[in-house]
Amino acid sequence: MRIKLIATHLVLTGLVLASAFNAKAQDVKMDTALINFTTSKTAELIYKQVPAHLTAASTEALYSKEILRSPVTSFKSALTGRMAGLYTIQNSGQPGADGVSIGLRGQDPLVMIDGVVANLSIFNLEDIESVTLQKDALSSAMMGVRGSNGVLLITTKKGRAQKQQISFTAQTAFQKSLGFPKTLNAYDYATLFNEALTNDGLPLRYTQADLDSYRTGTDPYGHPNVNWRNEVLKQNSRFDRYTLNTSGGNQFARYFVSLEHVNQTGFLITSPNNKYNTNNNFRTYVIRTNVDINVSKNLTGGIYLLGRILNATEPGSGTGSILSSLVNTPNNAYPVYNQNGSFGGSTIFQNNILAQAIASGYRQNYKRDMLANFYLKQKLDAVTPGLWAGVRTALNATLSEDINRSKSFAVYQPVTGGSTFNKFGVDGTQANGNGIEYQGRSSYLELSVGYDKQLSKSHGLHSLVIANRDNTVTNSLLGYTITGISGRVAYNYNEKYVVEGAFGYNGSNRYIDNGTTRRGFFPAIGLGWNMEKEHFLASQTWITRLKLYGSFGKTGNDDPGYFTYIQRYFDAPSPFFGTGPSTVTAITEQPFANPNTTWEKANKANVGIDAGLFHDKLNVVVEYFNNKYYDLLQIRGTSTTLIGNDYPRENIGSNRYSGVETRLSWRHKTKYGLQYFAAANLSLLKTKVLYADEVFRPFEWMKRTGQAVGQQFGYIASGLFQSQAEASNSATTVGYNPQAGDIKYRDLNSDGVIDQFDVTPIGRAGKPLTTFGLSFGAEFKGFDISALIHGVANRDVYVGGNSIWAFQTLQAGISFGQAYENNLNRWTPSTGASATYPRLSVGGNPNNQVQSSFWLRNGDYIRLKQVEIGYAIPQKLIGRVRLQGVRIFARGFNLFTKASDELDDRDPEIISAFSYPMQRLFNFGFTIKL
Amino acid sequence: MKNKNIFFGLSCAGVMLVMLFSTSCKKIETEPRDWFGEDVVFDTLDRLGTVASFNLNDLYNYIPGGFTRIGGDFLDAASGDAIPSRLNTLVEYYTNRRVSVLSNPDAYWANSYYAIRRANIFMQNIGKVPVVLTDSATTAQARLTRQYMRNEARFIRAFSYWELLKRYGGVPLIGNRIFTLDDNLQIPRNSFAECVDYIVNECNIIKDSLRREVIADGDWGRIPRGAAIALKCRVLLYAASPLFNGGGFETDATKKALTGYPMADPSRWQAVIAAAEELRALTPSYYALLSTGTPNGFAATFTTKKNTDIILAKQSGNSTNLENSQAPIGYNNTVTSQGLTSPTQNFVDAFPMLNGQQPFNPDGSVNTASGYNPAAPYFNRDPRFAVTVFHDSLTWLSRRVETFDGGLDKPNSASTTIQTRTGYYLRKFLGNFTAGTTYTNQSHNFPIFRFAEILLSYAEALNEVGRTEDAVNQIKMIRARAGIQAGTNTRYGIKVGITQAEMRTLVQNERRIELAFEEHRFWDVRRWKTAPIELSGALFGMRITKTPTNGRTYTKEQVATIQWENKLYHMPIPYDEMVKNLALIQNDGW
Repeated sequence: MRIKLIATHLVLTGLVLASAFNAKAQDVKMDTALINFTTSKTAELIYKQVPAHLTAASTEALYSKEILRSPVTSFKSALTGRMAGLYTIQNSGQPGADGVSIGLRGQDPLVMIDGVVANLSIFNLEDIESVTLQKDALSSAMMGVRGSNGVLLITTKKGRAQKQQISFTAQTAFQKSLGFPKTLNAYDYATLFNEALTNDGLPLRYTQADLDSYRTGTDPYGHPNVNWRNEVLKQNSRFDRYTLNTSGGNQFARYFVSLEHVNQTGFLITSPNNKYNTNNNFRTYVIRTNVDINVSKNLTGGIYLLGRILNATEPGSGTGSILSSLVNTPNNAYPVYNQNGSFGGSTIFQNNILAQAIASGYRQNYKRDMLANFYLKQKLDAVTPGLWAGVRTALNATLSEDINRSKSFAVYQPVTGGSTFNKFGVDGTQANGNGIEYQGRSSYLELSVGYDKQLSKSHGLHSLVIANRDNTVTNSLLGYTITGISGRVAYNYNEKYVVEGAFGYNGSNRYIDNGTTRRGFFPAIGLGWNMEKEHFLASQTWITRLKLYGSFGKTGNDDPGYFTYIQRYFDAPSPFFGTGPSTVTAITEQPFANPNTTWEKANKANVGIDAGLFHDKLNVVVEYFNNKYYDLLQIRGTSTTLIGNDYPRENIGSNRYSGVETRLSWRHKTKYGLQYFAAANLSLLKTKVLYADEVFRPFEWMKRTGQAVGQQFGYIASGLFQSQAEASNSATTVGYNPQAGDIKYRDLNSDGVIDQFDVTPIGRAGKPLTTFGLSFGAEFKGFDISALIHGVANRDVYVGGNSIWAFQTLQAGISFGQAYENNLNRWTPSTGASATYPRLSVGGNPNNQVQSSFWLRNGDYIRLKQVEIGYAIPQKLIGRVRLQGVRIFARGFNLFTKASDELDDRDPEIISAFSYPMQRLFNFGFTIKL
Repeated sequence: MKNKNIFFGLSCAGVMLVMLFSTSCKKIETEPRDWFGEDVVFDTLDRLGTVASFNLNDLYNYIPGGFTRIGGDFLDAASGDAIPSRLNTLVEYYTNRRVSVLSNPDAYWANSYYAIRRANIFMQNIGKVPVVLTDSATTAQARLTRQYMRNEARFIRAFSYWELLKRYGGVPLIGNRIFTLDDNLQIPRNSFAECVDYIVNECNIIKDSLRREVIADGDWGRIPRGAAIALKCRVLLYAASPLFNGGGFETDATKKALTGYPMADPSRWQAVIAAAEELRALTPSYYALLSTGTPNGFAATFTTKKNTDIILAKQSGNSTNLENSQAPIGYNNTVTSQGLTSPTQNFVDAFPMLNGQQPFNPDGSVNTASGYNPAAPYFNRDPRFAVTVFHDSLTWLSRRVETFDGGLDKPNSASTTIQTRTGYYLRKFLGNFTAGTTYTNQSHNFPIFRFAEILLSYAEALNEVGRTEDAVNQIKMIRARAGIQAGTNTRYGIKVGITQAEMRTLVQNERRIELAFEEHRFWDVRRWKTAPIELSGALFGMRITKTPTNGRTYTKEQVATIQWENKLYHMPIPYDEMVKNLALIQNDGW
């Protein structure tokens, strides 16, 4: 089926291309400007493009030019700082896994590509015409039971009836890691370790002779001092991208075809001894062809096809494992190589990080995806003018294959005083295995009927009804199918007053009984008022556009789990019986089924004002939203284990998300040819738990209800004990004998003990999460410059764990973890007043490491996200070689970050050193158009 | 042309519409048919009860095995008999006041109620399954099979209550109820007395419906008749003991009744005697102490899967897990040997000499009559000593253990992370690897009930009711098996005319060494109310120095301090349970 489709498509594409070359296409002047100087007159809704002033829905679009400014692979990463109400956080900088997680008004939006749900984020950014957020109930109403989280709609580029255009861009970037914690050298490490042992009343581990050896470095094999990051990581890595696209068409057919190849190298050291690459590289091969055809005057159709291969390699040990070894291995653990050239190791650390990088074989992952999207649209003006009908089908196939060619390696430790070595591990043979990580497919079918008509001079009507079916199959699980109908009707009077309604009536096949499809009805209504068309404003010519709009509606979120209404019995650990002995099969009751599960719901309200002033030079959008989510699936509070089983999720919870979003932009073209713009967005998001079936809380301050969603709770730290007397006379955690230098906590209920009754919201509780972005740019005589600054305020981050605390990781029974420069500022009797880290201890400390405000740090930051300068070579120089345009550009990405000192040297987004660090990029490239 | 297109479009739409909403023409799986529901587990047509037996098997997962159960350590590492070789371990919470309503390393509350629910489900439904073999000649056997199954489940339910009782005292008894989400679960605790009665009554009901000894090899590990009696005997023993028998420390009468009998009644010991005698009188006679084996009968008891000392043991696959985690660290370079447990000098001193006499007098001075030589402290000791504890110079994997300072098994070097903190390692339960250089898979079943325990409980009860000489006779059996010399008076070192109080001490000491590391001591010192002495203060190790002539000098030194509070007599009910079930009353002091 799929192969046939592709074959048909390729033939079709060929025909179109051929005809395009032969056709007398119109010669359209190329748009080389880097700044959008027109306000879009249309808004992309999920199933329809509508005139922007004739909808009351809340949408925000970002166009190709802004998206292409970011040297990233995931389109989501290109949105950072550019859209109001969209909060992004990057959790990893790893090639191929550097996508941000996004929150649209606090929810993870559904991603749709050309009207079909497709959760794909890495493909050719040049394919994207626009990304449109569907923020309110009205805009997402037609998604029905999938509408609650809002929608992120991607519209891909389509060909236009014009002369063929070819564009080729080649770019390369040098990447550098940011925010790696600075580790202690061996001497500092050993000194602090001894200090920690002394604090804990334990015998010292390092003698003065050891310390001297570490300090002088005279015994690199017995007393090594290895900065593992320098040994294992490269200073720079590369990011190369090549994109080629061509588009064009005529009255009969239009096409857009693109190819992309990305080659990103990893940050690991490689060895020439390996005949294969062990670095954590990432490569993509992406192809898209979008073809639209006018079959006849009234019948149009098209095929949009996306194919991609993502290929990631890494050392056999795994990049994640190397990162965690870097966190857990102190500089004095073992030498990189022993004197005889073998890999160093030790009884405690039976490992070698360099060997992990270059001597553990390699692994590969291939992801292969195929998206096909096919439509036909028939005008039915013969039946009644303005009527049309359409069908759309889409098929997605996805597969991820893991190839394991890893091997084990041996490390050696010299036997004290001898020339022999203890060997740990074995130099194993290379594994040879592959497996399917996952595979899946989905099919989509849609029928639509629309009616767009200007009924009379003053009455306009747009309506649309859709029936669709979306089926997704993952691995061997039964298909998840959402079916239903949805519709939209918008009426306007003189294009001045707009009344708009939309609904979704759909549901999934995951409900009692026997996989029944249950559908819910989710309506939304909106009102819009284009005030500039009122005669009382007609004289105010400085007002180009002034729209007041608002919507209210109910949305759904279908999250039934996998047949959770069925009480299931499943395998339990197999006990042994018999003198043999032999195992026997065991099955046991699984967590409680909940036959009453239904979809989560939300009531969403949105009001806004959209203004264009001074001939659209100044644009202002302000929106307020108030969304109440309810029937949220949660585990009930009174989940006593007396019942003898795990509780199911039930439709219990209720949260409120509200906020304000503002967008401001100014753009201007001076008569001397200078063009410039500045745009800002600011979003405030406030959340509140309305109901959560709380357990009994004896004190008011312990209650979760009424606090922000996801509010952190803990003890309130009030500094460090400055003396033993102070420690002995204060309330302390259960069973702990505090010392000077330990964290002091506030005893909220004044019972002399710090325990569960002293837990309360910590951090800037109740303050709205604030995000902002500021971009500006200018263009003059072929030169252009642009920049983006973005930031977050009222964001608290919880730090802690092995990449912040000293001596954490348990290695062979004792905590030998790494220590960092921030540990140098620990409490000691002499540095008491200025200490930012408690007195040192080895391993876990039951007082200092419990959840408290001490470790909750200010996570606010402001980042110069990117800067770009470009130069378009004048037409008169390149016209001779029949080029339409050549532009060279240089970019910087993540150039400068200002974060709170409380984060020490960590990056505010990627704080944990277990994660692949944030990358700073310097990017150069050129684009040729012909 | 135009009409043709419209027709084409409409017919396309029509076909699509049919495709969109018609799933009936094609039969597809609408629910996962690979899933087992209750109807499959308790299949009314399953004449072999195969699937139902799978469900029964799961109940055995809820019997705790005691090896390295508390964060990798033995519970006995919190009983004064040993300390963990590692620092900052969970099991130390019991001896450093870290246990709280939020952090109890061994709460076993939820586990127990999960077991109880699953047992109730099994018992309620097994009747539906026609466990009848086709052959009429074996119908009786089939009936028996189902009877065994039901009563195994019932035993595990009773045993789960026991696990709760020893930790918390009285807990909510829920009988046969299988709760649903709609049930009111604000259920108060039953009193200690009610829980004891419940468990004992259950044991009495099921004991004759369980498998009779000898258990077939293939069924080894399933609940036998003796286990029900042994459980009853142990519950009654605890109930008669000082802590629970009117000796609770609580001042609040309600709380006291939750964790023990409000009033003392010495006659409760009689019930222990009756239960022990019931087990001994089983016919045909089966249980006996294992007296032969390598290196001795006592050691072989723990490495021989099926033997007559074991009434019930947590079954496990043969492995080298215990050798790897417990054997002295000096062997680590050739075969994983982590030495995680450091038995204390306090424990070592409890072992008598080969002649049965204690090496130390009650005041701590050396009992010269015993023949104990402080310069050769491991010479001529109770044979159980050398198979319970690794001491210096013991042979293991073809070399002598070196726990002297700087020795292979206690190198005191910067590159060694874990080593003994006391000069000893734990050997009990390990295979007999004196020769060779590596370990082979061994049977490591954790004993839940042993015949030796019944004898010790019997002796304890007999002594408490004044039948001291009868008690002596039980201890003699234990000591004879242990390999202690009978002596000319065949009293195995027990002095003539021993008083009740002296005998109490002796029985307690015998229980300490015979049942060491079997999760008895931790609870025994509580029920005897000796915990305030035994579980507070100094714990000792032995610092051994090698002399130039390869001799040894021995210095006893303090290695740890442990702390006791009376609230530790009973465990705290988890905080989570307290706030979710407001009918619960917390134990005193928590």
